[in-house]
Amino acid sequence: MQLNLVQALNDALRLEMRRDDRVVVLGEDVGKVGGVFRVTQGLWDEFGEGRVVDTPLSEGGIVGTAIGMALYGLVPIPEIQFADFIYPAYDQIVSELAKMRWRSGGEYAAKVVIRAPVGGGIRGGLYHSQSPEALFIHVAGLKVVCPSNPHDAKGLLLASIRDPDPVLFFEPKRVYRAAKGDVPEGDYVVPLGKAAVVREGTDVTVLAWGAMLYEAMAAAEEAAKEGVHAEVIDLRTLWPVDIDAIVDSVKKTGRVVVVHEAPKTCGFGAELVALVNEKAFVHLEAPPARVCGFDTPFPYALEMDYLPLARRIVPAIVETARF
Amino acid sequence: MKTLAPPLAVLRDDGSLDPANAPPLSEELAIALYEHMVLARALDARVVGLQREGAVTQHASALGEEATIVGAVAAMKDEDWVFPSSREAAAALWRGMPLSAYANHAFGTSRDAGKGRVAPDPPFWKEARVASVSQLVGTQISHAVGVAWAARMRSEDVAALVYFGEGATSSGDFHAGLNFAGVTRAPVVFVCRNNGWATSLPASRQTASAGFAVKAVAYGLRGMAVDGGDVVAVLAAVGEARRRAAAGEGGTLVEAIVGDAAGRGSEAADPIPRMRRHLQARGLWSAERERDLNADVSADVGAAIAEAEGAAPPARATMFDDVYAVVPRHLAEQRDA
Amino acid sequence: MARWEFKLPDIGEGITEGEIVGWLVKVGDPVVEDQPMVEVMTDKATVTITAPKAGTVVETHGKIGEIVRVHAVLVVFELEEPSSGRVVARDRRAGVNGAVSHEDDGPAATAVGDLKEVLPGIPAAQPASAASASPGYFNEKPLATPATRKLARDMNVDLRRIAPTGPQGRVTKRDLESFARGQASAHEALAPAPEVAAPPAARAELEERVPFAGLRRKIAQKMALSKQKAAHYTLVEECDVTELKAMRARLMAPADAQGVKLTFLPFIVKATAAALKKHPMLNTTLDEAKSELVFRRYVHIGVATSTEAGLLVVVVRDADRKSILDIARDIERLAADARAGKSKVEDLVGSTFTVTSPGAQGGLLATPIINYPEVAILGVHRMRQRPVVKDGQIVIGDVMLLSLSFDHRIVDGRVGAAFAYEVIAYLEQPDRLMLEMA
Repeated sequence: MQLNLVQALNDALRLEMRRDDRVVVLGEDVGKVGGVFRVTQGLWDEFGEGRVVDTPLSEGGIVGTAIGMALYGLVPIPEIQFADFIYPAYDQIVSELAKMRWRSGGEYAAKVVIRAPVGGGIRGGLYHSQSPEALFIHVAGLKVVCPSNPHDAKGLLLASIRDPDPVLFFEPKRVYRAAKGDVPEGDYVVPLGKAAVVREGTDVTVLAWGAMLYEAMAAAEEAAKEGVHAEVIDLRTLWPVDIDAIVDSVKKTGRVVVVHEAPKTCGFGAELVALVNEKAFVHLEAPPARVCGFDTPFPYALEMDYLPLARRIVPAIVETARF
Repeated sequence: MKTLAPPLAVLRDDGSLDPANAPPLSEELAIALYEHMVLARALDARVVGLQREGAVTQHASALGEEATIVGAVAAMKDEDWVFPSSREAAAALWRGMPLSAYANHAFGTSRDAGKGRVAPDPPFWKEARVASVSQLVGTQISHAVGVAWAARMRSEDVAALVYFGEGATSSGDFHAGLNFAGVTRAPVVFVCRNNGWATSLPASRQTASAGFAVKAVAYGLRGMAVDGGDVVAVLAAVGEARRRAAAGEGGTLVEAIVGDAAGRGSEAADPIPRMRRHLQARGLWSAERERDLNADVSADVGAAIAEAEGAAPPARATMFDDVYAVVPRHLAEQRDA
Repeated sequence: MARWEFKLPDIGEGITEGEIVGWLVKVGDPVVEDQPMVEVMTDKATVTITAPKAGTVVETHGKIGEIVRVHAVLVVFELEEPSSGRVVARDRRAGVNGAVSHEDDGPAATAVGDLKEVLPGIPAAQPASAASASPGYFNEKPLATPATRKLARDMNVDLRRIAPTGPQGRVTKRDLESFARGQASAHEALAPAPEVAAPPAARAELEERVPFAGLRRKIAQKMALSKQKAAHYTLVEECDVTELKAMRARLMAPADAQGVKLTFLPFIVKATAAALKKHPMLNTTLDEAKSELVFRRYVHIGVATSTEAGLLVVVVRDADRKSILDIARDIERLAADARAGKSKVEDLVGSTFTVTSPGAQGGLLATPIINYPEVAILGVHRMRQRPVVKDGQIVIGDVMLLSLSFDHRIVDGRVGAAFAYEVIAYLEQPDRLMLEMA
C-alpha cells in the first residue's frame, strides 16, 4: 500500500496496539485529534481513552509517568509534540529511563518508546525545528532511531516497540507527508542497528538519515554529473550505529562525508568521523567532511541557509573525492 | 508550622490511643511496627558509623523518622508499589529485604542486587515491588503516579506509595507528579516527610504556603498532615489514603511532620519510646523482651555488615552489563579492550 | 682560478660511506652549478651528487665500484671565478657539502655588501631546512593520506624519499608506486621475509645456522624482485647446432694460436647480440617511474657465471661490436675474475640482456629468471646427438634446446618468438654471423 510517513507510523502503532494490549500511547493532543501531525489519528477511536491518553502539558510528567507505567509492565509510547520540547523531560530520560536497567542490576527495566518529530524545513522556527539526537546518543542506555521513509518508519517503529531497551524515535517532520512509498501490509520489522546502502558508489561514502537523506541523495546525483560516484548510506538506527556498514563502505571509497541538521560541534557527525578514523584510518584518502547545521540556534527566516541542503553537500562530496 | 488542620495524632504520651482516630491495630502489627523501628534505627546508627569511618561513602540518616517510614509502608497492601527516596531503607526491610541485601548494597559488593552500581542509599527490593530510584530529588514521584495510573488503566487494585522529603516539593517532578495524579485519579499516596530541613535549608525557605499538605488542594488531591513521630497516626493516615485511592477517589498527599518540624523535644518526639509505651500499656512488652530485641537486632545487623565486608567487589566486566538488555558491540569492544 | 675540493657530504641516515657507481664528469670537463657529477650508492639509495659550484674538474677521486668515506675528497675543481658572496651564500644553504669551510671560500666581502656571518638575534647555526638537511629526502615530514601511508609501510618504502606530485604537495599512491618501481630497478631491498622459528634446543644440533649475507643475500633479493616484478613467460625451442659444431671445430686451432680457448658460448653471445639489434624490444628496460620504455642503442650481454660464492652475471660490453674472439677473451677473463672474486664493478653492472648456460647438467630445458630490470634472458641447454629428420631421412643431428624467458608485460609472445627464431637462425647457420661483424 502507498503510504506517507505519517500513515506508515500510524499503521505501525495501530498494528502493535491490536497485537499487544500493554501498548499505550500518551502525550499532548494525541487522543481525539490524533496529534498535531496526525500520527495517532484514529487510535483514540479504536482503542479508547484508556490506551490513547491526552496528558497535561508537561513533558517531564509524560515521560516520568511513562516510566512508572513501564515499570508496572505496560509498553508506553509517549509522543513529545516537537523534539524541541523534550528538554523538560531530559532529566527523566537521562537520569531515570536510560539508567533503570543498569542501576537495578538488570532487575527493573523501563520499556518506553519516545516518539518526537525532529528537524527543520517547515518554517517552524527556533522552537519547532531542532535535531537533538546527539544529546541522547551520548547517554548510555538509550537507543536512537530516525527513519527516512514510510517502509522503514513502520518497520523501525515496530522493532523499537519490541526492543527491550528504551528508544528515542525521531521522526523527520519535513518529509512526514512528502516521503511516500510502498509499505507492506501487516507485520514486519526493520531491525535496529542496521543501516541501508541506498545508493551505491565508489568514490565517497555519504552518511545521512531522516530528512537530510533526500538532500544527500540529490547531492549524490549532482556529483555524479561531475564524475563523482557517491555511495549514500541511510543510517536508520543512529545508536547503536551500524559501524560495519560504514566501515565497509569507507574501505571501498576511502572517503566519507557526514550530513546532519544538528549543529556541527559535538553533533553525531563528530562521533561518526571519530569511528571512521578509529576503524578505517588506513583506508582514508581524504579528511572526513561534515555538512551540518551551523553552531547557532535554529533560525526561522534563514532556515534554508541553515539546513545542510544539497547545494552545500555537493561541493563537500566533490572536494572530498578530489582531495 | 501552620497547616490546614492540626496534624493527625493517635498515640498519647501515656501510651494509649486516641479512640477518635485510632485504626484497628492488632497485637502482632503493633509489635512488628515497634520491632522494625528499632531495627531501622540500629541499622541506621551502624551505617552512620560506617560512613564516618569511610567504609561507606554516603548515607542519609532516618533518625527520628522511623515511624513515618514504617507506618506508611505498613498501611499499604503487599501488592502495592513502594517508591522510597533516600532514607527509606526501613520500608524495604518491612517488605522483607534481608539485612544482608542492604549491607551488600551499602558496600557495593558483588552480592548486591544492584551490582554495586549505585551509592549506598536507597536500596530496591524487586521481590516486593520496592522500586529502584535515583538519588535525584523528586524524580520518583511521577514514576509512582505512572505505576498507579497503569494499575488503574488495567483495573487492578494496586496502588503506589511514594516517599520524599519536603525539599522535593520544590521540584518540577513534584508538580508534574501531583498534577498528573490529580488529572488521572491515579491511586497513589504521597508521603512528604517534613523534618523542617532540606540539607541546610529550613522548610520556610522551601515554601511560603501553610505547610505542605495544603499543596494537594490545588492539584485536586486530598491533603492531610500527620504527626510523623506517631507510627499509629501514620498508619491511620496512609491506610485511609490507600482506602480512598482504591475507591477511585484519587491520591492523597500526607505531610508527616517529624523532628524539628514537630516542635517537640527530641525525647518527646522520638517515635520509638512513644510506641514502646503503647506496647507496655497493652502489656505486650517487657524489659526482658526489650533486651532480647536489642541483642537480636545488634547481632543481625553485625552479622549482615560482617558478611558484606567480606564480600568481593563486582568483577570489572559486569560494568558493561545491563546498560542494554544485550551488550551491544561498542560496549563489548570497550569491555574486551 | 681557485682550487676547491668537493668532499662526499654527510647524506644523513647514519651513512658513513658510499660506493661510486658512475661518473658523469671527467677530468677536464667544465661543469655548471647543479650539474650531476657522480652517482654514489649507499646502503639506502643511489644518489646523484651535483656540482655546488661552476668550474672545471681537475681531479676525480674514486673509481667505479670503489667505496668512498664521507668527507673524503671526491672532486677537485678550478673555480670559474674567485669565491663570490653569492657562492658563499649558496654554500651556507647547501650545508650538505659539509666539507666546505669558511677559509676555503675566502673573504665574504662582495660587491653587494658585507654579508655578516653572525648577526645578533639570529642563532649562529640555523636549523637546516627540511629540504636541505637530508639529500635524498624531498620532505622530512611528507604529506600523504592515511591510506597512502599504510601502503608505504606495507611496501617498506620511506615516504620522505618520494617526490610528491599530489595537491598541496602530497605524496600520492601513484607517486609511491612509481617510486617503488624505480627502487626495484635500483635493487632495493625487499620487505623482510617472515622469520623462520628457531628449532627447540633439543633439535638445535640437527640444524646449522649461517648468516644469510653478502652475495647470497643479494642474489636472493634480485631473484625475488624479478619474480615479483616481471611477468615471466618462457618459450622453449629446439636448435640444430650441427653446423655450429663444425664451425667451432674449424676455428678452435686458429683461436688457440691467439691464446683463446674457443667454446660455444661466444657464438651464442654473438648470435644473441646480433638478434637483439634486429629485435630491440628484447634489449629494453622499463622506467616505471617515468612510464617510459628505454631502448638501449648499446648491447651489453650478461653471462651468468657460477662461482663459489654464488651466481654472478659478468658483462660483455658492446657485444654487438666485438668479434667472437674478443667476446671469447672477455668471457674468459670475466669468468676467471669472478671465480677469483676479483671482479670490478663495471664487469658486473650494466648488462642489457643475459645469457645463462647451465652446462652439461642444465637439464632438457628450464625457465630462467630474468636478470631484472632487463626484459629477457636466454637459457642455453646441453647439446646432444639425437635422431633428426633431414630431407625426409632420419639422421643423427646435434641438437640443443633454448629457453627464452621474457617479461610479458613488455614483450609480446610474437615479438619474443621472433627474437628466439632469429637467434636459432644464427646458430643453425653460423656463417651468417660473419655479416654482423662490426
